[in-house]
Amino acid sequence: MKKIILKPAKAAIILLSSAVLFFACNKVYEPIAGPTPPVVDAANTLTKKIASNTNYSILNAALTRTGLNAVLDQPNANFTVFAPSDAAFTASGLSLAVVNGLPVAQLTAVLMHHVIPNEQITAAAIPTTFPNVQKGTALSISSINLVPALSSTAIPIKMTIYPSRRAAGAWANNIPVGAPDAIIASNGVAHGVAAVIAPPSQILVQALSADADFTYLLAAVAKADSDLPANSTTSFQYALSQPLASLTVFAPTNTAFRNLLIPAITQVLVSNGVPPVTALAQATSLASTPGVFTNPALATVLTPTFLKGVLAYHVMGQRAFAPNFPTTAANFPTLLNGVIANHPGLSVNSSFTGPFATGLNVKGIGNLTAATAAPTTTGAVDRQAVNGVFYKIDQVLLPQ
Amino acid sequence: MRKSIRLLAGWLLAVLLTTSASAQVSSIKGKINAADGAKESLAAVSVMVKGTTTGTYTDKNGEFSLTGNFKYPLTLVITGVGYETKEVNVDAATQSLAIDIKSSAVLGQEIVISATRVATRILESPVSIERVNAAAIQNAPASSYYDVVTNMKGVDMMASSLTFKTPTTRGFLGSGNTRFNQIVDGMDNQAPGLNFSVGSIIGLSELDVDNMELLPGASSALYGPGGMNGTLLINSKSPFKHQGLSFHIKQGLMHTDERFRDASPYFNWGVRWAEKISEKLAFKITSELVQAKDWRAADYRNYNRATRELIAGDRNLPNYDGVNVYGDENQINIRPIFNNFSAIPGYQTLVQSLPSQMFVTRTGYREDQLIDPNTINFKIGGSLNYKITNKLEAVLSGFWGTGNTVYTGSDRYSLVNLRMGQYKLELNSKNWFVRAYTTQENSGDSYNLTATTSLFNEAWKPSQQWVPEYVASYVNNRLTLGMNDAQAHIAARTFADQGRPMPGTTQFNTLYNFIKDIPIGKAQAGAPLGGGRFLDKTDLYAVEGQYNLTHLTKDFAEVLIGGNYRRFVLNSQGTLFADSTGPIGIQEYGGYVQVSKSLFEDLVKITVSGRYDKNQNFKGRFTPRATAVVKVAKNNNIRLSYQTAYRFPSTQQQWINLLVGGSLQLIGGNQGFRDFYNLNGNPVYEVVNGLPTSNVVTVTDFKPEAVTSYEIGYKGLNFKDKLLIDAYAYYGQYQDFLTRQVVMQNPATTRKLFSIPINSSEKIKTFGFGIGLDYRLPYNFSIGANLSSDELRDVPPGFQTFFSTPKYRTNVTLANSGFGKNKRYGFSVVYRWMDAFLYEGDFASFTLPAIHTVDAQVSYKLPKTRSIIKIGGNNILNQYYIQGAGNPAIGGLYYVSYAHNVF
Repeated sequence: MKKIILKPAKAAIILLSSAVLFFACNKVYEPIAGPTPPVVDAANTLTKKIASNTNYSILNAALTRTGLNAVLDQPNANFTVFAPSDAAFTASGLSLAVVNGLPVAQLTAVLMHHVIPNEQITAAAIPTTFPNVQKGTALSISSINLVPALSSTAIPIKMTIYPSRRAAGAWANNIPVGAPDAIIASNGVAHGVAAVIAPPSQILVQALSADADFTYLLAAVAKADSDLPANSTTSFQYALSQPLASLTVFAPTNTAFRNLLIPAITQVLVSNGVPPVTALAQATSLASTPGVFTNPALATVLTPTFLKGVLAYHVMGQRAFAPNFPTTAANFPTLLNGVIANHPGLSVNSSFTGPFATGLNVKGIGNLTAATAAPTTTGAVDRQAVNGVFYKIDQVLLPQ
Repeated sequence: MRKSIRLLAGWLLAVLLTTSASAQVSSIKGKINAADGAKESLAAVSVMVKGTTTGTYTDKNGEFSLTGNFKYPLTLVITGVGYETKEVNVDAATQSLAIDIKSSAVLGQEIVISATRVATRILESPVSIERVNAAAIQNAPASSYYDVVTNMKGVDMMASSLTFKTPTTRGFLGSGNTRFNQIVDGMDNQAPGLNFSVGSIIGLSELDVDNMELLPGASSALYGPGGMNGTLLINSKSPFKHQGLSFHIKQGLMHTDERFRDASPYFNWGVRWAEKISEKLAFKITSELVQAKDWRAADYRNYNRATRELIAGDRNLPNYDGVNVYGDENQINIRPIFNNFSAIPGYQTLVQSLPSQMFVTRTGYREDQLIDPNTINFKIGGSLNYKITNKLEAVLSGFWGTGNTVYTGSDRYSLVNLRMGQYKLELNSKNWFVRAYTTQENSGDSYNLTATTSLFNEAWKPSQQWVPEYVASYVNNRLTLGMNDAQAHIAARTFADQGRPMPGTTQFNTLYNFIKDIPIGKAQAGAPLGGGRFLDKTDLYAVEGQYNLTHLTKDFAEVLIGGNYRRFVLNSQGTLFADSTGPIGIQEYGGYVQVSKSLFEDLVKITVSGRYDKNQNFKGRFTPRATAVVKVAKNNNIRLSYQTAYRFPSTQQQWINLLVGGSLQLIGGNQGFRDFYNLNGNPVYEVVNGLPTSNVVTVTDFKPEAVTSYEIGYKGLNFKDKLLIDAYAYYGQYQDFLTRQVVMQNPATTRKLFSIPINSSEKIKTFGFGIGLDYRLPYNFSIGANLSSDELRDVPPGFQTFFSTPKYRTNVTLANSGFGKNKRYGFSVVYRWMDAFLYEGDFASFTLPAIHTVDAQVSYKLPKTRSIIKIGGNNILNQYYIQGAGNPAIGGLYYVSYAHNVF
């Protein structure tokens, strides 16, 4: 009897517990589904592809030595690398032995100057027009003393690089890109370059001061700025020492200034009644030192305004490397166009030896002939600074 | 003069003579035993002389003694909970009356008080009501009596922690539910300042609970403002009735799967000592101690405060804000800082590629790194009862509790050394009562986790320093190391977090303890923005009384009148309320009258009641109620009711002034806030998805909220009185629904966010139903099931109601109150399910998944000592669940208990 009556209760227990076991699966803190993470290809990073390419063994050794191989091995990152081949290292005087002998810090800085982080720029993506695109490299220099306004956050100055492309080829700064898109990796692209792209270490004002051929130029700059308060942001000195600027300066040598000043002063003296021979001797004497710009006797002639006009005609607001100029002369605007908008500017052309630009001519409207840029020890004509490029030319350019 | 003295003397003499003339002082002594089972003696059984107010209760040995001038023959009425009422004729004084009473298998015989404030059979209650008595609590599988409430139909329970449990009915689940009253021994149990009901922390000790009555639905008409959604009344045991020493020892085990923390013990020890010193004087002392490693809140999912939703992502996201991670709430837009770089060669490309806004949060700390919720809860209480006459009893009682726990309100709070006391003086007569009580709150060393951790971060490294470090590192990571955005953020955080104090270290503890002990908003050296501690010492003083005029009006109708007065004294020293200049007083008073009349030979009983309340900050309100009970057959009643209920905005809704979630200022609706923050002069704008719109919000006076509800119900016994069916359906409409709205001042500059209380002009509707079945099977088996539903309709899109209630929930219970040899064994199993629902809270809002739980217990009685041994468990399948956004995951609690002298 008891058993029979207990049956419904037992059945109820079984039913209840089976229902419980069926349903009782609580969820707690269920994760929220997000977008699926991108598939990572760690096997084909720049580091791994460079290491497996025999043309880049010195680069590979240098990357390994500096630890930058780890940076270029991040599969999720993006890089554009201008990769000097073994031949390029050697051409730049950096054999494997030399590379292994360099201080690590210095080698790291040089290598980082070849890397544009955060972007994958294939050769086809480099614009063919002027002005050049400006890209920050992985290399930065301390800005704390150079940019007082930003010192609290200590933003470092990015060393920039200028990829460019024309019908004849592509360049990084003035170095030819011999093998565009040489390595396409999962985290970036590497272009083979014909030489090491050495990073500049000085700003324009420092680079110009370091060369004794520019004492007249710097004196002219000082005279041109003399009617402005010290450190005025509109002064030439500020522009040349501003590390964030990016300029092209055609820098006439002392001889070029003397060649301009002596006839000009002679002419002024003659028109004031001084006999021509005496006038020439006096003019030669006056122009024999950079002090000519501050000579009171010439105060009415070499005025700051006059010099501003002349100097502005020597500066372009963008950075133009020699390969960026055409082989047939074409006109380019200068800072003078900021005052005289329709001024025709400078007529500039470059000449090439193979992919390297090895010559540059520039002619002002008032010049009879084009000035020629002097080559550096490496054979290039462009001289680099942190905030611009300059050419050492043999004539002062005349805007009219 | 002399004449009057002589007259008085004569009268006195007459009285004395009369007394002695009929004074046949005799006594009746006896013992009451159960008629079946082990035939154990029964304590706390009422023995009344029929037709008089003379009576007593059996003591722990089942013995009773009545002394008086009895006229024989007389009839004794024996009533014991769970036993059939028995009448015994006594012809002469006797010392050895032996009475056996039979246990009652009939359902629905309980008497309830709270439905109409007059004793009524539960079957004839005019409104929905649920009741559990001490025996039911003993046989329930729940580890604490508060959990038993969950088994009633229509009840939702919010467990903020092991000891912090808040029941509610008909919506608005939350640990600070101000629409549901909890009344313990006649005292409103809501903490006057913190606005949560403290019943489970400082209420009655489990051994002292006599019964619990639950009134789902609007009940303001009798219980005053607040009971819009329901009222829970918990009543303690009288020391006259339940005597002797009782105690229980409950030893449990929690976290057995070690999912959230190591397996740890649970202790719950209780003691109650009651003594009847004489027929006139009795006292009781009760105490309970609970100690355990509490459930752990470990929701580390990412929460978007602007759109109020959980989103994907973890700390690797720059603006991650984990639910139970603190200090990471404030979304800082770092994008403008990048503009410093935009003119610099080499940076432009990056700066231009960045989105227009980049939000970053400080690195937070997980809850388990900040607190080790080692819950401790100690309660002590007692009463002194004195019978001035047979009809008049004075009660002086007090409850005091202290504890450490964690709860989720407008923010997540760690309650440390919270102390709360309630003290009462009451006079009870047959026809009237008057009581005065006070609630004394002291928040102790409690603090706000979010505020403390945010300020901890600021104290370690101010954001003015941390953010630039982060940005500089981010830029470097992108432009030197070639990292992508996500990697750069992660590395930038690592950089800016260098030297961050690690939890558990001396550095961390010293700083954290320093900040958490500093009051909110009180700047001091080392903590310029203040700390996270709140200093709440808000008190409530209340007086109330009731008079039943029925003995005067019985020819016409039953009439009841009552009234109350309350005074709140808000005192948080500016850490919670806008009371930095001194305590704020709020007064309210009200009165009610109820008239009942039976018609058509008791087939229909109509009750009409009305109540008027006035709060000093609001206009007076009248709330009527009308109910009818129609007896359709014996033990079958249909009830109909029309009720209105309303509530004055809570003390917090009136006066809170608290910064939460790092950036949101919660303010009260009092006029003073409008003037102080110049909310209309300097306009505030509507905020949608965290962004300001062009809509100006005009801040106006706010009003009490009201609900009008209509309900129909049926309660009846069927199938030879073995099946109790209780069903109801209701429809309600809210007026001036109180909610909060987030607005923004100065959207162009400071972007200051306020959360202001507002009345919605929308007519929000609520409806629901419930049905419960209880079936008595043979051999003491019983099976019960209930299903209930609550729903809110016509809620405008984007409107935050804080309804937080599942549409459906169900309970199924299978129990046996006595089987095996001498029916000493008992068991019960409860399965509970609640549907998934959107939880809306000030702290966080998101949808919670459905919950299934199973509770079970097996018990064995030791009749000689009236003791019971129980083995049981809550959530025996250890299926973790959460009942509120930000709340801990609650798992299984398994226990063995021994309770002495409890039945």
